[in-house]
Amino acid sequence: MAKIRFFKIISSILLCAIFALGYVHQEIEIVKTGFNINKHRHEVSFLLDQYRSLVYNLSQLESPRRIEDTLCVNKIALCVPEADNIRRFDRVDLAYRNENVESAEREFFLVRFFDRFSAKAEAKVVE
Amino acid sequence: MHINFRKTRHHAVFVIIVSLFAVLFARLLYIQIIRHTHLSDLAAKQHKIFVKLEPRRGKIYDRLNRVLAIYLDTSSIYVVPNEISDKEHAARILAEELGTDQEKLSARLARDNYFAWVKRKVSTATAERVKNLKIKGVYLITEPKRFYPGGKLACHVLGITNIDNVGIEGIELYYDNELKGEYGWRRSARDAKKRELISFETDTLPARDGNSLVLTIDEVIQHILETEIERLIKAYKPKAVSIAALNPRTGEILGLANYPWFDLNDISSASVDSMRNRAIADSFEPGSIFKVVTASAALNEGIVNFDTKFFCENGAYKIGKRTLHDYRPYGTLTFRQVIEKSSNIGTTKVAAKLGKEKLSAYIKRFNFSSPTGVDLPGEVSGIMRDSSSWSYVDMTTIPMGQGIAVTALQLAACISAIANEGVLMRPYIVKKHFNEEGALVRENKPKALRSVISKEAATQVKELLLGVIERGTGKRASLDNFKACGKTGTAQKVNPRGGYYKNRYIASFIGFAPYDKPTVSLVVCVDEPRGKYFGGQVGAPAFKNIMEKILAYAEVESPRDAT
Repeated sequence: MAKIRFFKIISSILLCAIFALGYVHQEIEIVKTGFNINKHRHEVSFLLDQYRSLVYNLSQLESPRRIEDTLCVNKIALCVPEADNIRRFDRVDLAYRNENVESAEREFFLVRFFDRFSAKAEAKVVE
Repeated sequence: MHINFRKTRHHAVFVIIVSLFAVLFARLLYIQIIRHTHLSDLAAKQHKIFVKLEPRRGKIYDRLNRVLAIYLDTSSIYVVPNEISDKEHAARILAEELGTDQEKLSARLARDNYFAWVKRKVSTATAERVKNLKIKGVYLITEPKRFYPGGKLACHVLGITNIDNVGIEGIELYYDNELKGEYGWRRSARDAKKRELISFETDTLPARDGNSLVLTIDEVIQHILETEIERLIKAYKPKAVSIAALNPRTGEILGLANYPWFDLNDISSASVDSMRNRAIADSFEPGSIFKVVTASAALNEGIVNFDTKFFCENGAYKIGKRTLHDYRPYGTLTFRQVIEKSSNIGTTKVAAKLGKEKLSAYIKRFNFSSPTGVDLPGEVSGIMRDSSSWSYVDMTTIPMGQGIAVTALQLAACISAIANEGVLMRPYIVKKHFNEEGALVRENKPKALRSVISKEAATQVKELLLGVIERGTGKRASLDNFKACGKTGTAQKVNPRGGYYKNRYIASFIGFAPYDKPTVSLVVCVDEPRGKYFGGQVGAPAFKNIMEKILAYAEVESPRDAT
């Protein structure tokens, strides 16, 4: 009886010790995760700043002044096209909307049935 | 007597152990209960932190979503003086590296505190060099700074922010509340190495970044205006230039440029004079371009038509003690010719027929007596005295644009009203407001202030102004592929000591194109051009250069293309 009691006490103490260690380990992991999150936050912030720097640099590159200066340095002269060189076209209706265009012939029903099970690579007209 | 030594030893050990535990218990009681408040406060001071989350300032875009203003992270250098052992040495090295005054830096380091700025918002290269010095007590912190990709592009419109990202000029000031966003905060803890423990975060309120703005300004049109200003500076070395381009149908400001100007990314080298948005903050006597108002009033009232004749006194018209002169002596001119040739005497006679009450009423209807209401700070209303105080002399000067002061933007709004079938639109510069997620918060719509003159009268005025360019003083404004309408102006500048300067002028031109479907209205004002000074010689060619480029850029179909 005494031995059983002794083992019970020891196992309880061991169990408590294991739970305590587990709890401490968990707390440490939480803190480590917090540090990781902070590190990732800084990385995200850095990347976002890099993105903004790129946007800024792109805006500078695309600025009209820089483009003009570059053209000037490279001795490229641009001019507005003469009125006679401009041709404007009327809007052309898409052919498939033309009611006079005949639609594709209806395929044999077995062909259509087996078509459902085969891969297709057809271009589709998207409205 | 037999003494049980074994039992006595047991009791002694028991008493010693119990006493030790009692001491421990008493100590615990003292720490956990009696000194609880004091120690937990101490712990809280050391471990708990309150972090203020700075919002990001909203971006500014042009009408086609091209970036005009953006923030980037920069490094700022600060010191913890308590941590620096050799303060003189640190001050010397930092002053050398940063180009700052060593004595001032030493004074800052000598203070017994935890924080002192050394230099804020330095370049990446400078921050790297300071970091590589590895001086204990010197740290870097990230702060956002405003950058403008265009440099001096639209500098007066965009404005600037100060070191603390508060707007102090232009759009940055006017919309500062929207652009700055709202601060957030976070309550959390830190460890012994002062690293933040996110997992111990108790409360947080995220920062709300500022709204972004989309302007009505077009970057390319703005560049066109500024390029033309550069040409004017080279040719005439003026004191100042203001140019404004508007969409007459909506009142949107497509471009607003002033000289002197400054680089938005380097305001330390800018003078106060160069930062003034002259197009809205400076009023001046407009001269002959104001005859558009007189002509509009006369036509709208129906007191004249194109063929009404006026005798122009052969160039010298004596009224009371004053003699009014024309630039050239004219005999009899039709009303159309009075405007085309810009006869002062003819205009005075037209105004006399109109009467001062009606003329004053039309000047007010064209909004010359009040600010336009544009969403930019620092706008002035111009100077216009009440008609009850006008004398007969005023009726010989005000109709031709002297004795009254207006701003360039007011003139642009006026000519836009003529182009817009007589409807005066409120000029505005911000088109849309977006929040940090990109959702539209607000959109500014065009606002019609009032109908100044009838559609028919506006058509007649357009016809007159077309004649100014085709046959009159504005021939140099004639466009190659379009018909344009406009008016020249050459105004003597007011001498603050009284009267006018003899050889200082403001050369200007207002107009719009194309004649049949006005797309852009433009005002060009050149202050004290050297050499040539007439509006027809200085302002008109500038109008032509700008308008042709804008119409080409906007791909406006010319009547020749249509056929």
